[in-house]
Order: sequence, then structure tokens, then C-alpha cells
Amino acid sequence: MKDEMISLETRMLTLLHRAREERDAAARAELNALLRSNAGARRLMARLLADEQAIVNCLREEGIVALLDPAAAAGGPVAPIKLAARPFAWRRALAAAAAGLVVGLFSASLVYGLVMQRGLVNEGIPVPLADGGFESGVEPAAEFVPARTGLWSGDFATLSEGGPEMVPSEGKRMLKFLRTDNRLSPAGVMPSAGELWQVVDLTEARAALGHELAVIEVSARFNQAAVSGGEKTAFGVGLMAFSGSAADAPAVWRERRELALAQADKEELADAEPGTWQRLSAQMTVPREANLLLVQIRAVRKGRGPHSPVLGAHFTDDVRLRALDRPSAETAKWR
Amino acid sequence: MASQFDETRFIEALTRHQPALEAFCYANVARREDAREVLQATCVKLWQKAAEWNPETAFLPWAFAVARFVALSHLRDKMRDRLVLDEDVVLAMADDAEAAAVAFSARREALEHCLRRVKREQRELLHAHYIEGRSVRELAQSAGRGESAVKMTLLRVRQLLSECIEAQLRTAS
Repeated sequence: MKDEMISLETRMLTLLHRAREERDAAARAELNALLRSNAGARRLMARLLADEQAIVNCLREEGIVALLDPAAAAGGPVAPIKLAARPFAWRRALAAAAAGLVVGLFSASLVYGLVMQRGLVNEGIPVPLADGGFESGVEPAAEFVPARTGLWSGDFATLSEGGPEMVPSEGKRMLKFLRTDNRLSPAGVMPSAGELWQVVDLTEARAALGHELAVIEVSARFNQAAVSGGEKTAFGVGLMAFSGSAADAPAVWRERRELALAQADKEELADAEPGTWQRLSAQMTVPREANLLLVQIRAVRKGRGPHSPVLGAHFTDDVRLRALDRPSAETAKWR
Repeated sequence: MASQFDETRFIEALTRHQPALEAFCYANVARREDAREVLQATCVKLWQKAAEWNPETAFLPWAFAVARFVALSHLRDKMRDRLVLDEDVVLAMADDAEAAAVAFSARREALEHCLRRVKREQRELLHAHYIEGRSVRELAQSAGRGESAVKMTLLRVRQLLSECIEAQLRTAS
């Protein structure tokens, strides 16, 4: 119930912002429809607005104190706007505590994400992911992090039915990483990783599950065709939870150190066995305030010096998401 | 017109309850500039009706009734696209707005505590947005960040303040 309220609060604050600041008529209509039909939403909205007024009231009072007594107000808030590079230690601490994972408080390297080794223990329940097997025939977009749910987007990649050098792990198709850049990449930048992302709506996943989402796991299979030259490559999977709208995903990814509510990641060097697929997985505790998830799969050049943006011998297939009741303690480690 | 004695009581009550009244106005119109107009008009109306108030009865319910009338009148006068909440929604929210305004002083007190835990940069952001009225776009431009990032930051701080207020109130009770 409490989680539903937090999700509702996120939704209403987002709609309120869009209706007020962006003059978004659709958001305004949605907000009013929600308030008409939902008594809990009306109660919450009244509280949110009164709290907003309280914020104004407190800050205004502090401003007056600062004017009347600058010494007393030293350390107070009245100053020109200047966003800090890392304004979220406090938020992280509360979010971590809210998730019941206080260990995160003492970790310098963000979050309460979990990284799984091979060999999962509990079975879990599948969480819908669009075209995880790359069988739909829809090519991924090459436009950085997608701003909507239900598609793969990222760096240049293509669907492949395979050939003598590689066959799909399952089904008829797999995904072939082509380059480490995309249509929106700034000129002159040579990233070392070819990445693809998908935004997943956790609200839908929670509804489909019929209960709260505690831990989520992403897994994918990777393979590398025989390559000459010997440059090392790694494969990776990642998860990032955030709240907001899918349209925020590109911005959240760019500023993930501050804006991610939780992250988990797993990377492993590509082996030299094209005949077998490597399976990687990462688990993450889902903060209750998160309503969206960003799934990432990648192939990374690990050699030193300038990288060619061209990949082409790197494949992934069978990307899956599943909900688990709890992390498998035997195989998980704190990140 | 109210007697001199009543007028003193009235001024005292209006002064004491003005923050809650302002919160009530804001909960009805959801936009700062509209709330200021409604509050101003409400105070004028309350002054005009001061003689009708019985100092032996609670001030706020009476003031809320007047404010609701003023807010609805304000909503009808405004262009629809300038408003956040539709009139029927404001009517449906009437009891909730009143309850939120009644709880205002306790929540404000809790918030004061919570704001002390917010980093200076976050307070500056809140100040710039809610007091100076700077839009997310302006804030993003001046900070060299994306609009979505600033929007998300504000959303996050709001959520954490909400949580903190609830926790404070639970502790207090």
C-alpha cells in the first residue's frame, strides 16, 4: 500500500510539473481525470500542495532571517543557484535506508545493487522485456538511450540470423553489435563500448506480478566470433532503477551517478570459444520509489590506446528479466 | 462591522492562521500566482465579513468556506488553459484541502527539521524554483544541466522531504 502511494506521488508530482511548467494539456487532463476517479489521489494531492506551500513558507522565512540577521543565517539557503556535481548523498542514504539495505550507507561506490555470479538459486518470475530474443525482426534504433519503453536503442547494432561463424543461442535471430557510436554521438568521440538499452515500466511489471517487486535480475548470453589481432573484449549487462518518465531516461543515464536510485552491473571478458555462449547476469534490489528500469547490454573493447569504433564480431541473445523474492545470498556480493 | 474587541481577535486569528489559509488556497488552485491572488481576495472578503465571525467559534472553518468561494470564483474567471485543476475536481477535493490545511502547521514544523538535512545545493535549488519562481528550463540553463535532470532532482528532493515529514510526524506521535 505504501509503495502504491509512493508510485502515485511520483506520478502526480510529474503530472503537476508538466501541467504547470510545460503547459502540457494532456498531462493536465490526466491529472484531473486521476483526481476525479481516485479519492486517495485527491487526499495525496492536497497534502502535496500543502507541503509545497510549507516549503515556500520555510524558505521564505529563512530568507527574511537572512536579511535581518546575516550572521544567524550563515549557512542558510539564500544564494544564487548553483547545482552541485553530487547533490545526492542525503537522498542515497534515505533511499538505501528505505530499501532496508543500510550497508549502502557505508559504501563509497554507490548503491545497494547486487552483482550475481553464475548459478542462480531461486527460480523467479519473468518480467516482460520487449524482444529479448531479438526475434521480432524490428531493428534496434541507433539513437542513444531510448526515451520510451518497448524498444532497444543505443549504438549501431543489427539483427543477425548468423552464419558459419556464429549461430543464435536460441531462436532464429540474435543481435550483432556493429559500432561503439550512434547517430547522436558527438563528433570526434570514440567510445570503447557498443551499448544498447531498453526502458522497462516497473509499474506494469508490478501489476503483472501481482505483488511488490523486491529483486530483479537481468541475464543475457554473449558470444564473440573468432577474431584476429587479439584485442580483448568484455561483455556486460546492467540495470538501473529510477523514477520519473521514460522520456527522462537519456538524461538520467547521463547523470546516473546522481539520479539512479539503484544500479547493478556485471562485466566479464569474452572467452575465445565461439562454440559456446557466455551467460552474464546482474541482480538489483528494486527501491520502492523506482517506477522505471533501464536495462543495458554491451560489448566493450578493453585494449589500451585509440579504439576503432567498429565491432562486428560480437553478439548477444536471449536477454531476460525476472523478478526474484530475494537475492541469492550464496552467490551475490555487495558491489 | 465588528467591534473594536472583535476586530482585535479577528486580526489575531487572521494573522495566526494565514499560513494555513494560504496552504488551503494553494491546495485549491495549485499555482503560486493564482494562490496569491486567491489569498489576497480571501483576506479582503474576510475583512468585509469580519462582523459575521463569532470569536467563540473556530476561525479556520469559517475562513476556509470564504476562501473556497473566492477560489471557485477565481477559477471561473480564469482562462481554462491557465488553470491546473478543473472546478469539479476542486469541489471534490474540498475536504482533503481543508484537512491538509488544518495539518499545515504540524507538517511545516516537521519540514523545517527535514530541510536542515538537505544539502545546501538542494536548498538553493528549492529556493530558486519555489521562491524566486525560476523555471526548470532557466535552472537547467544556468547550471549547464539537462532539463530532465533538474526536473528529476526537484522531484527527488520533494519525495524525500515528503518521506521525511511523514517519518517526523510518526516519531512525534
